[in-house]
Amino acid sequence: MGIVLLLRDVLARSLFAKYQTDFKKLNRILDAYEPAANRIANTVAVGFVQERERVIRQQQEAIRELSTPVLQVRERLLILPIIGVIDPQRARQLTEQLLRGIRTNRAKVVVIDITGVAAMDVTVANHLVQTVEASRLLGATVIVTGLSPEIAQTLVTIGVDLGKMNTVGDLQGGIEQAERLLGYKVVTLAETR
Amino acid sequence: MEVPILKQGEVLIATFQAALSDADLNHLRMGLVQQVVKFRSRAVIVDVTAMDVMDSFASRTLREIAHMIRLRGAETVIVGIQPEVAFAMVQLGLTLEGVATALDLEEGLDYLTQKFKNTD
Repeated sequence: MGIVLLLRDVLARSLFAKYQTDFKKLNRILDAYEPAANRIANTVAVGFVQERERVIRQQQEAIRELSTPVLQVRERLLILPIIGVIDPQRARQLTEQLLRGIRTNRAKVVVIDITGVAAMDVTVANHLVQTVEASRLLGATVIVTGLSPEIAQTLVTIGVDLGKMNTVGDLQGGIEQAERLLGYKVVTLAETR
Repeated sequence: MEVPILKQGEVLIATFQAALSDADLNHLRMGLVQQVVKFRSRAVIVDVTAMDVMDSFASRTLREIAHMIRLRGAETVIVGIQPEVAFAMVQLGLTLEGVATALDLEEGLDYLTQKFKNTD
């Protein structure tokens, strides 16, 4: 960009040098040159900024996808660990990824762990409830684990029907319940002897 | 448009095609219950895999079908709801509450087998 501006000035100066004897002609030339030169400089600047923004958007998308992985830990059991801030856009993406994951992995149980989420507003809490309901439509049971006191308060405030939402204190408890639902029994090798 | 209803033992399987009109849905509602009566079926599986959109009328009809069939002592399982459809449904508040759902036909039959085993 700096080079474009430099070029513009260098060209302007050379025009001055060439036509300094004929003032009227110089003026006419500058009248034609100036807007054209400025338009060029503008186009370069805008193109540059647009490209940067495109790259930033792409990277943001990639970060968002990486930050909400849907992981299969057993046959028919998915875990979705959520960490950080959830905004409505991330919540929506989360839901789409989860529903696709349920269909691809034929999951019957999903554990959504929100230990890493400090707080969520009413909009996002509603998204969470919708995610649970949409998962049920695909035949999967959702267990939500790791609710902080603040989030528990938000859910109660928006009047979530807790009968519809399956929650367990922590991730370990959630996985254990999921295993029970799927008919797994986990024993140590010592116990099996 | 006729919706094919197949009999698999004690289970009836109705496969929805992509675009069903309100009239088709009404026709199906009566048809399914009549078939349940005729074959003394214990369950009906409604496969909506081919439906790429589900409006409130279709959703309500499915719930009504399930209720009517339950009055005949039979179970209804809706299978094959696509992820995009499920997402759209919950956003519109159509939750198919009180109706069993499963991922696909195989899962639906599995669910029913388990259920029959438990109650027999």
